[in-house]
Amino acid sequence: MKDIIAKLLKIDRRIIFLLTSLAILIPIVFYIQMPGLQVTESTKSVYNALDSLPEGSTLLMSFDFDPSTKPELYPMADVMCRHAFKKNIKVLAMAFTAPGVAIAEDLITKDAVEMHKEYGKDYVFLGYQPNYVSALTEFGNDFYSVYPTDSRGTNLQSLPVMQGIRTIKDIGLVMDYTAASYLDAWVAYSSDRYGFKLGAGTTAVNEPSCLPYVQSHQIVGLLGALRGGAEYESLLHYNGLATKGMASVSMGHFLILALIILANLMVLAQKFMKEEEK
Amino acid sequence: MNIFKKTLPLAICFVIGVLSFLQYYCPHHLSDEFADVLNDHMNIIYFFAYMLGLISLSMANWGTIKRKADGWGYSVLLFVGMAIGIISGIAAKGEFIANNHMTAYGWMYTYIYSPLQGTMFAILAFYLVSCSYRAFRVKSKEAGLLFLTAGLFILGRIPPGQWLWSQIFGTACGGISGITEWILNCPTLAARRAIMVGISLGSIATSVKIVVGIERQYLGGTD
Amino acid sequence: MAAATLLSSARLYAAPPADPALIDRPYSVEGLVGMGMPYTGGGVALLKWSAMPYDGPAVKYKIYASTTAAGPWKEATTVPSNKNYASDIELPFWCWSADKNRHAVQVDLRDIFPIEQKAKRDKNASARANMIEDSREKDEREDYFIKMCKTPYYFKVSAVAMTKQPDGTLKPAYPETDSEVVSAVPAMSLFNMPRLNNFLYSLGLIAIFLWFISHAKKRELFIRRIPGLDAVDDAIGRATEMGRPIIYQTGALDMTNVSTIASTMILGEIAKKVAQYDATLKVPHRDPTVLPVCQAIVQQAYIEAGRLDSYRDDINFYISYDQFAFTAAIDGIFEREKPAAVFYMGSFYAEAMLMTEVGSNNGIIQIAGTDIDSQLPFFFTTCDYTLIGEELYAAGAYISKDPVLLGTLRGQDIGKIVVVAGVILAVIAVTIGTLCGWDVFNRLVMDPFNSF
Repeated sequence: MKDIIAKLLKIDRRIIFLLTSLAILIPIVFYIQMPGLQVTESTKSVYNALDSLPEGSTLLMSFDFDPSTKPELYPMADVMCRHAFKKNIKVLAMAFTAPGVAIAEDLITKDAVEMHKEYGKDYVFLGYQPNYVSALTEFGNDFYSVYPTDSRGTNLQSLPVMQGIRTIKDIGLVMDYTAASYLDAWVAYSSDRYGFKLGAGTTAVNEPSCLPYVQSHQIVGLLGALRGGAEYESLLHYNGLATKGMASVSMGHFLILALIILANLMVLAQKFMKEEEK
Repeated sequence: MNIFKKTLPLAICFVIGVLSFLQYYCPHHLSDEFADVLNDHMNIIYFFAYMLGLISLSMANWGTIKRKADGWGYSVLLFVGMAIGIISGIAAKGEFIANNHMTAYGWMYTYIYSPLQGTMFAILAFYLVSCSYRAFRVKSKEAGLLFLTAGLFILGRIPPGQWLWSQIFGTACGGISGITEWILNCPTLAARRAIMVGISLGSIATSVKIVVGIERQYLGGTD
Repeated sequence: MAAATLLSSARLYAAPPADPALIDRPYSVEGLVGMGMPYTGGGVALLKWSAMPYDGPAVKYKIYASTTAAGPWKEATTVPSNKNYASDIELPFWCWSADKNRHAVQVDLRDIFPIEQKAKRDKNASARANMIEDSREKDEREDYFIKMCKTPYYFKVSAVAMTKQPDGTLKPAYPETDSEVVSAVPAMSLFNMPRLNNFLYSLGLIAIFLWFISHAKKRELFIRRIPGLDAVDDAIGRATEMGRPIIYQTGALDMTNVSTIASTMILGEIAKKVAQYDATLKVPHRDPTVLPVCQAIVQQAYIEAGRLDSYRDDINFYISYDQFAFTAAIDGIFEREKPAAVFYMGSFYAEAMLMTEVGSNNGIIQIAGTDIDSQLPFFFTTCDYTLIGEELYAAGAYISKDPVLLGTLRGQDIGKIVVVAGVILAVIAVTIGTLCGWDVFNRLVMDPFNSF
């Protein structure tokens, strides 16, 4: 028994990798319906901020992430875009990271086709902006000095989707999807300065770092990782990527908890056996 | 020569540092223009820095190929990959889709770059589980408290955990969701804010040392 | 200003009757004044007028603007009469009177008098032509804005009340009567007075740091042990004995980031020790702006250690800006070269655990220091020593034992004491103020802690 416990405690990590793979893959292959998700106040705030916007107002989505964090952030951006299109709210998409542009175009084009929305009238791609500090500062003075044209080279002011927008204060809600520190810059250089509604979506690791902004009401709310996306989908009664991914997330969480408990029980057992021998 | 290597950079650092500090408190149009000019200059500096990085990388790998050192084949691959990326990017003018067809650049992004990035990030999940199994040992009261908090938090973040709690404890303590929210919003946030205060003060002190010229390591020396 | 705030906190008028037609005189606007909105970058006018007894849900104020006193008038905005008081504008007590008996409305003149839209561009114009045109349009907008901030604009306000007729339609209760015409120049401000608290705190902290720096050499300052930094000598010694390299990483961010600058300072000290021990140092870079700085720092460190003959240019080398390409390269270096020690000093993100786990599996001593607290748990579980947050900034002073640098640490501690004392006192004051219903007192306490 002692040998078995010692072997298990020093188990080859590849076996743990295999268990992790199974815990994540099985719910994807055999879809498991999860029991009802409880929605947090933070997600509700973001939902209400978008839902309360009148028809014809604007949602600016900033895709400040790259493909590595796409699994966590893409579903929440997708459901918010669908929500905006459903309410006939215009969508502007921009990115402070180069890969974010492709993600934005892929996501919004897919939703626009499905929901019969027209480019230039219902949505527009603003493109990549390399210098985010300068851009965030300028947004409050003149939006078109940062983006004179869209990503296709069309004069932005000539597009119907931009009607009534001169500065970022004219935008109904700004959402920043990021896994890095772009939200700090959004708050410090833009929303605190110009006073517009800013919400955020971030990864699970980054979520505690962004919570001070929610508490101090510097952002309207925060969507945290895949769970935040799943909560938003449940409010919209939409069975999207986030809801489908929660099964894998749940199994992964249970695996970690089970392994930690098992390891500690084995250490405890080892300790008792040593004392017995003495 | 010292005036160009030490005095002038320190003077520039001081003047720009003070002006940048004052810029935050000045809403005048000139203040915004100053910030724009600074950002434009930074873009120019970044461009040259990237060129420097590219040259450094190329020289290091060219040396490897010339000496036929271990792994020189990968250096050849580096140059081939660089060439393909640059040529396809220029040819596609940075577009992923052109005339309703995916460009070569777009293809590389969608089928090579994105999956590779996702794979690397996904490795984190495996390392996290193996690290938790290996390192998380309840050897003290503090570790026990940490484990209890982590356990509650993990349960509260997933639907089956919430369901399990509600079956056993009902809505006691606001449900597991309420406990999780409290853990996030109270002790975690308090600790995070304390660390933030320390980091902010440290940042201010370091910035003051650099602007005033006490810290001169970045010039390449300690005199 | 505070007394005025206190005195004006009570509303003078009771609620108006529900039906505006019951008011026995035409609606008028009194006490209208116009000025440029202070503390802004210009282009915004501020109009203030007295609250009236008829203010209620059925009455609205229409604001008209013109470039001349005689008109023509453009309708700028319409605001409900039971909102938009001076107390609704969130500015601190030292520069704004939160008067509940005066309406205050900000009018952005760029929305009312926008620059003329140019004719649509030629769709076939080249990218270069479009860029030139964009630049020209931007310059025109800037010139127009600067001119606007020096020009007087004219305003008048009229109160309009609609009553519901028996047939359900809305009809004005009285004809619109205009107020007197006032003028305002939407000038730019030089100083953002609401941020005065921030400005004074910054100056105070800077003064504290400079004082401690100037007094640092006069007496020896105590600094507590930081185990991670005490282990630096052991790590370098181990590397020398084993004949394996030491890897030093400066983090993911560029030279504009304070943590990277702090990391380069630590690199200077560690490079000096490495040179003295005659060990091998490798500094891979992710950001190209950090590379030349670190090259100069390491070279200088070798010169100061008297070991310039051991210095090589390829100690610092660039890998890739991409997060995971860099991580993959580092993991490859760990697996192939099996360094004896690795230092992670700076800002790290998701790549942190990917590198430290591989390092841990290869039996490498790992010392980490970061200000990115989301990565701290990963460093704690996989590294031998971890520096938390500001210990990274203190590391340079700790290793070098330079009295001037140690002086700034003392200044930081005093700063922290001031912050903690301020928070405790403010919490007590606001708690008392809330329990006693002293809203004005709470505002006096809270405003200095707010950012505007």
